[in-house]
Amino acid sequence: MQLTMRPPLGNIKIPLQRLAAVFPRLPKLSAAVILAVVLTAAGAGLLTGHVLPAANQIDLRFRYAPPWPLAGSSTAHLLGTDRLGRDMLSRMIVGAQNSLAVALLAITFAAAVGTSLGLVAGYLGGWVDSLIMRCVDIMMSFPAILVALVFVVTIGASFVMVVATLALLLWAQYARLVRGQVLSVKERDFVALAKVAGSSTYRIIAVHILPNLINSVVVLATLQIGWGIVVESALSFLGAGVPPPAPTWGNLVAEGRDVLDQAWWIAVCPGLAIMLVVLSFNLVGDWVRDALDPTLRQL
Amino acid sequence: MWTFLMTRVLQSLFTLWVVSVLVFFAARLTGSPDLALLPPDALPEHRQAFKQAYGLDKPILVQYWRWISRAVQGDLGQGIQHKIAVSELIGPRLVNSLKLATVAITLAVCLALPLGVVAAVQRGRLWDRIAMVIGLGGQSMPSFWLALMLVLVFAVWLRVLPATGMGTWKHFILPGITMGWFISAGIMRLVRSSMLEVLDAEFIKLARVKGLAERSVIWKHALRNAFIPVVTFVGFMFGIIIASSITTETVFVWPGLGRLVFEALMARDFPVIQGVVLIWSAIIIVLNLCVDLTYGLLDPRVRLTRS
Repeated sequence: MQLTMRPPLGNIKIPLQRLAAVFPRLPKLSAAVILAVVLTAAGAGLLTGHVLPAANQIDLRFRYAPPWPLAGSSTAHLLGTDRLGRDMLSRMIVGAQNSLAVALLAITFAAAVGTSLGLVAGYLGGWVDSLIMRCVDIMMSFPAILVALVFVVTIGASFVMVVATLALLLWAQYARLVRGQVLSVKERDFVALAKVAGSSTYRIIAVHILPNLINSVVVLATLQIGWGIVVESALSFLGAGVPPPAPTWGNLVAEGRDVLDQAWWIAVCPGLAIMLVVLSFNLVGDWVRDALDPTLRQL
Repeated sequence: MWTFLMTRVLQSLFTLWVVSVLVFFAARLTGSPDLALLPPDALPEHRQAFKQAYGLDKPILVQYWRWISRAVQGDLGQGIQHKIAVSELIGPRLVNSLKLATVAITLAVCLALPLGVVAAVQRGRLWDRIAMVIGLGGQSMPSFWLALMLVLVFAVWLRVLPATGMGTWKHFILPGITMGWFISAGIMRLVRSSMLEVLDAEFIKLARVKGLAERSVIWKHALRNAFIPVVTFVGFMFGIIIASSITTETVFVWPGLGRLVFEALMARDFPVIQGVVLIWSAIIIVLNLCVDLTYGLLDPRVRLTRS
């Protein structure tokens, strides 16, 4: 007789059925907004400079042109222009690329690092566990934005630096979540069976335990995207984000701040974009949570 | 109880120490403040004298020891930019920030508590929807942008409220709303969900069966119990306030701690940065400690013995 060692993969299959079952409850408008923004951001290179003016193309004849239907506007600049006559729509599209890239990369790194540490802490236990969890506690009691600001400003603002700082702020939540789940999963029979069959620790963690908690990681990641975008924009707004002339939503709002009385659209439009996208991500995140793992309500 | 207290206090002190190490070394990672504060054509001997004056020529561990041993005694050193003691610099700014925080928290609680309760009672109806919109708005709007929009509408277009500065009560309104909205989103969600839970409980049914007025059931019996999770949110709330105070105070030119640390960062004024981060972290850590302890008092079911 042959003993099958495969872990119950049901946990991975069932969510697909669940996804189909809960699909009607997907906030469609939010999903459409996200899809549109992500596609536009991905295709920024094709749009700006061809269909639209290039994001950094200066045109001093059209300084501070208002958005389209208003008096003094032109159809060439649908969302108006800034103090150098650069097209706001183009800058917002390239800004979307930067802002989304920072948030998504940071969350990917944080999830990878946090999940790995959580797996190790939960499975090995002992002093490794204590050490990692103490670090988690410390990370979670920091005034996060302040530390981020200190790091970015002192080490120097760059794309990589902003991603690294955000990831540093976020990993602890994954570690805590994953560790908690590992503690219960590792008591299950298939883990014991795998041990009896002589699987290596690495194999048990990667093949038998990880697939059982990947859902929670996905849920946490989706819920954090909105937060990532807001923090990135706050850093940019303070001049500690991806450095100019590269536009991000945050530094576009910052540019608009000084000319609020004569060119309100420079601050209003990118801010509206942030709000709309973050709202959409939050609503879709709630839906993903309900679909994949409703027990994570408290997140 | 005592073991729990001691463990938590020791943990908090340890966290504070880690914060001090991190901020001290992070602040020194990119070189010395003479690059930012002295003119680019300053002579090498001037740079040397400047470094000597602030002890920046010593080995970094010696610098750390000098700073932390004095900080423990309440001496945070002297600011490089303003040439006065950091503690004197921080004091008034902290008071200004706390004034703003008080206004923001008061506004937030006054808005969030009734709305959260009404949303839970009228689940799925109009007030629940209104509460949801306010909550979602607060969570998705970046505070600096909300601040700018309030300035645009009330100061630039309507000209009814001052855009920047501090002085009269009118100056508190816009920054207070900016910061309050954020916190209220979180409080409201918490109040709503814990009210929903409590309203299902047996003792609420009993209170109703006893014939108590519905108002008394909801606002006295239910709310008192639903309030417990909200208390744990206080520490977290201060974290949010500090986070949003940097951007909010920058937009409204509010002479608080947020703007101070931002200016200090731009000028690489190490002693001030370290001082502010240390004090802020201490406030958050102490608050979290208090929250943990109060939680046990409010809800006797929470056992304080586990470490």
